[in-house]
Amino acid sequence: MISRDLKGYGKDYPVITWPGDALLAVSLVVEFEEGAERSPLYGDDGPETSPQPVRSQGSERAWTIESTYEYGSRRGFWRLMDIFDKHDVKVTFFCSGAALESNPVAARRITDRGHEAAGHGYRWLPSYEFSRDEEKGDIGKAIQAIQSTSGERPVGWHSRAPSVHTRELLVENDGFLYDSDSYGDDLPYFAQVNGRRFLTIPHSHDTNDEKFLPAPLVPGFTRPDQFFSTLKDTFDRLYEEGSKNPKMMTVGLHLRLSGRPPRAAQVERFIRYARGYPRVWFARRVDIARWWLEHYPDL
Amino acid sequence: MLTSVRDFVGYGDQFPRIKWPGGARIAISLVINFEEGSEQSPLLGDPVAEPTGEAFQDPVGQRRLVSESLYDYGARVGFWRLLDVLDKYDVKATAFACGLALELNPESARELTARGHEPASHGYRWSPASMDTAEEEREYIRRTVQAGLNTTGERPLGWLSTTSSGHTRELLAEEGGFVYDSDSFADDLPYFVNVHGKKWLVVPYDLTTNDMLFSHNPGYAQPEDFFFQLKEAFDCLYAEGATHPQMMSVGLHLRFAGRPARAQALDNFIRYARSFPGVWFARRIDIARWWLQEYGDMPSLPRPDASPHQA
Repeated sequence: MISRDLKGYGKDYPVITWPGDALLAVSLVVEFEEGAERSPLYGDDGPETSPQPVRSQGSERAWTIESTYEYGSRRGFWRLMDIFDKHDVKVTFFCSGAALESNPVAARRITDRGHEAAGHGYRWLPSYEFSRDEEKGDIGKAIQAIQSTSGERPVGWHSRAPSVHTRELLVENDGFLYDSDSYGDDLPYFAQVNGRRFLTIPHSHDTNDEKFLPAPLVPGFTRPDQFFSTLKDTFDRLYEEGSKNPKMMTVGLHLRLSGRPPRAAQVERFIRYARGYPRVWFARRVDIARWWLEHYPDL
Repeated sequence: MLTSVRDFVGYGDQFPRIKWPGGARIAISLVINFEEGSEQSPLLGDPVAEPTGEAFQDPVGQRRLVSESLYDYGARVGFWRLLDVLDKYDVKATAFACGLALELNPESARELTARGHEPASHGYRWSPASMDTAEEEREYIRRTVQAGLNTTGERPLGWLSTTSSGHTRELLAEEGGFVYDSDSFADDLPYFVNVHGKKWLVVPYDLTTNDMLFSHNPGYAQPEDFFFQLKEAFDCLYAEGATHPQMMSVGLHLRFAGRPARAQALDNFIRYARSFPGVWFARRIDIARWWLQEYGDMPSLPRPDASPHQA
């Protein structure tokens, strides 16, 4: 059972040091899900319903939605990779195993270019829909698929939506350094799992291109530059706070969302903006995890 | 003719020309809602998990882990960030705090009063089970007051309901220790109402100059929109305040405005408002005490001529 911690670091927020005395670690995260989403082609009950249910769909394939996912894998991936190359930024890909199997060319490129291939399920499904055994099987298949396509075993994990078993299963697996299933802090922290400590590197919903989705409850971005504006305001705040307590900032990207031209332009704009400041460490999550485990294992 | 106990006239064409301390044109009340941990959760035995918030991919009928984590952020990080923004400008706020949220986070509860903010009440739970009888609600209020006193060291003097029953105000007046409630969105300035023959002060709140709109559609698409909303409200009320000093409420939540970019928007707003002369940042209790001292003789609303039967 995953417990809840409303106190966290509390009043005495840790004063940590990043490599090069950076005030802010910026972790760009790209979710690579395309091809792992729900589909009757895989024997699922119906098609993927995100970004939105398709009218009169029934259990048939959702051609238009499928196609927007294909765009992410076919074009969005390469556009974002070009931006990362141009600015020499290394990022973390949270990869669904089935997505990498669907695009082995991209899978190899991730590791060839020095990016991190972390785990995001074999299928891109909410983990709370699995039984514990099913979830364990999905994690195992994801590791296998990511390793065989990218050449690396994932050491980080991010669930589409975690279950109460996820963290336990990651600890039992023994090959993971961290998860990103928390949204509960600015800095990494150790969570307690059955008496063991496990590193979690929190993710973010607001500095995330998910806000381009037509979500039912939460207002989204109506223009691409609102994504940049959100990232800039977040950066400014955290950079300022970083002079006292060095912080971490996560930017959540999806191939089918930020891979579209006007949104990719915002990603590049943000990288340029952040590069304009001297004490910024663009880091893959595994680098942050290793740094933390090396310097702050007792925090 | 339909008759109603509601008051659609208010101050009407006799909007009071009041004075604030120092001759300020506007009183700005920053309100921090402190709710995290007291929302609905199967961990607390509730049948459903809290459905509102910013997570949109969570299960129905079990714990909503992503949502919980976003609420946790508010308590763990957002709280401290908002207090730091307030300290930066040396402004004091009113915290409408749920009793259980304070009990689950006693360090933060103590910090509220240590830094000079007002610990007011927001019920014991943020989403209480419906209360069928006045007796249940009386006990609920008593428990909330006790939790506030135990954790912050001060008894709450103000109240904002999460859901208001027909008799909440009567019970608050009857309890005897409260100075005001904010269970109204119906005016710009405080006003008195009559509760069983006694005058009762209402300091109205605002749902539009509120960070809640980060979780409502349509709402703020970007943090800057929150700043813009506050700036437009300020500009309007400040202009009106030249002849009729006004009041402005800003609603904040740890899990919304506590996110970095949104705290930045709040910071920008406080700096903006600070650049004008005649701005009084006040806790609600300060506004209430000022009102009682200076305008205690103002008659209760509704006006005698508000009812068609008396006209």
